[in-house]
Amino acid sequence: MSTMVLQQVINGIVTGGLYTLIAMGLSQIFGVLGISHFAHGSVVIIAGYLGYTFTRVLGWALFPSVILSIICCTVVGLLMERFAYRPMMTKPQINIFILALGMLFIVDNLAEMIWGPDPLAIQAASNVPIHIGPAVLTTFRLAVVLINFAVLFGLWGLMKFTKLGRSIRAMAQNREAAKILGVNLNQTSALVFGIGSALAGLCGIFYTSMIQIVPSSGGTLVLKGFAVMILVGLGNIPGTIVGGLIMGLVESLGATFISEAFKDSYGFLVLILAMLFKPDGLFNRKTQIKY
Amino acid sequence: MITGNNAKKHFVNVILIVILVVFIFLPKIVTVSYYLHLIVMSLIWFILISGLNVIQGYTGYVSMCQIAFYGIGAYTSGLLMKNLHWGLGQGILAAVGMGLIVGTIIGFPSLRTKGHYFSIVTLAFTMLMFTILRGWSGLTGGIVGFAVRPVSESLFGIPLNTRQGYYYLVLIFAVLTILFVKRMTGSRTGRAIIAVRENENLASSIGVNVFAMKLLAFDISAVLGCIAGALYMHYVNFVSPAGFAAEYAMNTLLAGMVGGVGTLVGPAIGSFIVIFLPEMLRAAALYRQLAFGIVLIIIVFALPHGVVRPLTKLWTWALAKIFRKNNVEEATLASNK
Repeated sequence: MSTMVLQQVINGIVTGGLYTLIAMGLSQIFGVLGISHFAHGSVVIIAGYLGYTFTRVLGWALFPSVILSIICCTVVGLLMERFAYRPMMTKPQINIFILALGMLFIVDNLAEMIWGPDPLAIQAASNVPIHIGPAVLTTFRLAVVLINFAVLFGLWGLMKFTKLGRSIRAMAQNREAAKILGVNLNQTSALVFGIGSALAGLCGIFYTSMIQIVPSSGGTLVLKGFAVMILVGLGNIPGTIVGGLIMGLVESLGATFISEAFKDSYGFLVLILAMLFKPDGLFNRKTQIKY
Repeated sequence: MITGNNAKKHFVNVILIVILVVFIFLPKIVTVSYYLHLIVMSLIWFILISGLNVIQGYTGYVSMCQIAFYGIGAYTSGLLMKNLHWGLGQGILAAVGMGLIVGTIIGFPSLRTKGHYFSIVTLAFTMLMFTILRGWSGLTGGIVGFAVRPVSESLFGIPLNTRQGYYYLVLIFAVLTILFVKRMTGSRTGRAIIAVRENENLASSIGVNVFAMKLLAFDISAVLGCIAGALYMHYVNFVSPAGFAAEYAMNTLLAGMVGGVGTLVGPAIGSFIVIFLPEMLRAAALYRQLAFGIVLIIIVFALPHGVVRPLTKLWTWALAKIFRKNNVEEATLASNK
């Protein structure tokens, strides 16, 4: 029993890290631009499918394929920001919402046409099992956790200590004031989209390597990212890490001890319960939330 | 002037009656059974979208879980019929009760959030519902769903298991829905709900119980959604979770937006477009879903307030032409009311 719990906790931490990666991009984008960027899920699956195509179909080496697919999906994210969202910023909020959802479903359909509805996976580079007590972790999964934390730590440093980080935080607090004080709004939002999309790309690669990717994965993953974002509140990097882990743990423990069939629903249940008691997010520190 | 307004009112009433008569004789006019099927589906969707209209159009909260209520209504009445042999009427009543219960349970946590957050939380509820419908195979039949026997009741002597008979049943519900929404929005409660949409703080400062109004509107949307679901269930006599997935939440949103929310006829136009358009795009076969999405997004962006607004303008203009004595401004005022 305790072995199983330990094993599921490890699995939860690994998948929770993926949710954190998505939620981080979503939270920055929502904070800076007030957009619920549903097409973030599309960016994730684009990276996953490109990674699959480069490694399995074209037979390239893993490392350059990963880098290339992350670059490609970053470009996709930037294009979305420049040509879809930016011209719409002056229109009613609900139109941006529909645009974002619309892009998600269009990319879903395109992915199904190109790669088919069957699940696909990338063969992970090294899958040597490591035994932690009675539980098992593969080297690849360990690498995923370590890379996740390194990336998130880097992001935290970026937000805290650099000029770009200050601009992003300023923009999230007050767009107009930031503009007056000389923050280049367009450039900053492009950078936020770039960083967020790169994180999403990393997540897509990890997801395709560890689990499997289907065209509808984008929608499910982006919704879990939003769930984490709402659960913890906006613009809180350590909080987002904890939220992602909560989501991952609840899912893997729920799937094992309650029922595998409802795996996707436990996280949403936690979200709805959290809304009942802490509607502003679990770790809300009175940050300004722009709806 | 009063006589002019009265004449105009009569004219509008006459047109409404003509439309109703056309709808009553529609099964005689539309001889292709398939088109009648699409019309029945559009009317069911009209009831569904009218529910969405109450929460999105009049209260200003963009709900993404209308499709989940549709599913809940369908499964509630379907399961009661399959397991307990309940009839159509009892099934619809049970769906209403279920709508009230689930609407309240979900309304409490989700209405504490605003704006995009509310939409995302309700979308999460739709995903939750879909997973439960698909996962609880012991009760719901899982991904395959289940079938029920056709309804045995009849209406005015026309058996309801025929397409024509069912058309009249759905038509009655659609007319009741439009009357209900009209009465509701004109009432004191309806004005309070609209006040919440315009400015929550102001509404609360003049004594409107904001949360109660939001919950009421959400419950109404849930009940109308569940009625539509029950009607759908007994029309097709089969249900599976696939029709209640998150993609269809997008379709409900689009039906509302395309028609124009916050108006009475907007949901009707939107529902007909959302049901008929994919059929028109049959030629594109494989790319149908994709083309549908793109076409609808273009419509939403070309007409951000739905197709109703230009139609209202045209209507006002036509009325002004017919009753020349009144100037256009007055007519505009009247139509904006």
